[in-house]
Amino acid sequence: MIDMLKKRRVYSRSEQVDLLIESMRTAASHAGANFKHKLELLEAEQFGVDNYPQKAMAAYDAAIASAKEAKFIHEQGLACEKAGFYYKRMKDMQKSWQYFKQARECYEEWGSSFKVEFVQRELDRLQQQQNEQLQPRSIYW
Amino acid sequence: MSESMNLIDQMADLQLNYYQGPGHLESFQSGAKKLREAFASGLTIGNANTAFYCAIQGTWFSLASGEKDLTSLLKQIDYYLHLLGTYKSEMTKYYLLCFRETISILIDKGEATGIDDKLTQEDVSNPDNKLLELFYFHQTFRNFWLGYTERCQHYVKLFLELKQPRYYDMYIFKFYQGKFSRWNLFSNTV
Repeated sequence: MIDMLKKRRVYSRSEQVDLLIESMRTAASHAGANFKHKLELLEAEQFGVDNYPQKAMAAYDAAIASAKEAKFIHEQGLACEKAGFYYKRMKDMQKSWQYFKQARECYEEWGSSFKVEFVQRELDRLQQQQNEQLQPRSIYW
Repeated sequence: MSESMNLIDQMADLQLNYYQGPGHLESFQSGAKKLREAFASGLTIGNANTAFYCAIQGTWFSLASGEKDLTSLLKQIDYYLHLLGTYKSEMTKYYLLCFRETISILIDKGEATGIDDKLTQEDVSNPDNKLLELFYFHQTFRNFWLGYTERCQHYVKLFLELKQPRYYDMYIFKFYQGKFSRWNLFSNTV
């Protein structure tokens, strides 16, 4: 009966994420080289969603550093890309630009033209926004 | 240890058993290198079957860890496929074709690097088919990197519903699952 009830328990999304992060923590404790940066990236995203900007920024940097140390170039790129999106949401376009640029370099090294083009589009959008802000206002305004 | 005990002939078997089990706890990158050596050693002593399993496991470690750039990995798979012209093994060919397609998609969505020969849904439609796990895994991996959230979640779910998934590291799936669980509202990418 208890087993049946356990099986029927429906976890909220937040609980599901907590469980997934917990299992990633277990994986990282046994195989740090393969999972530490994955754990840190999930934590960074979690902090971002829960509105802890300082913790999120630190966790993104930690994920990027760990992925670099473990030489997971594609996941270093992923962490940079996610950091780029995070700073974009936070309206810090300069930081966003820096992280997207790093992501592009990682994806170039990995050899994924598809991901390079994807990140390049984000860089182009940021550039366009920057240009629009710098343009003098119309005289009809 | 294998050298001191004169187990050179069993090197490929030893490495394969190790890296399909406890070797998952080691760095995937060192595993990929060791398995490439084991592949060469297996072929040298005429143990082609084990050698190609080493090649498959090594290719997975290499892809999962970004150990080699994608173009080099694609060339390596083409070399394995070329050798399979001599050492015929349909199962190995399916595995390698699936890897090949995944890598080709990651490079350029298969536009310039894709080939016609590939594993399709029809090839794995039987639920008892051992290739089903392979197929779901690769669909998850591809859709994750392409940023197709719903498709990725769909294949994660199908994979987790399999009776005894064992070939791939479950924690990698948990990472993909976690990556899309809550915060995908904020971004349309992986």
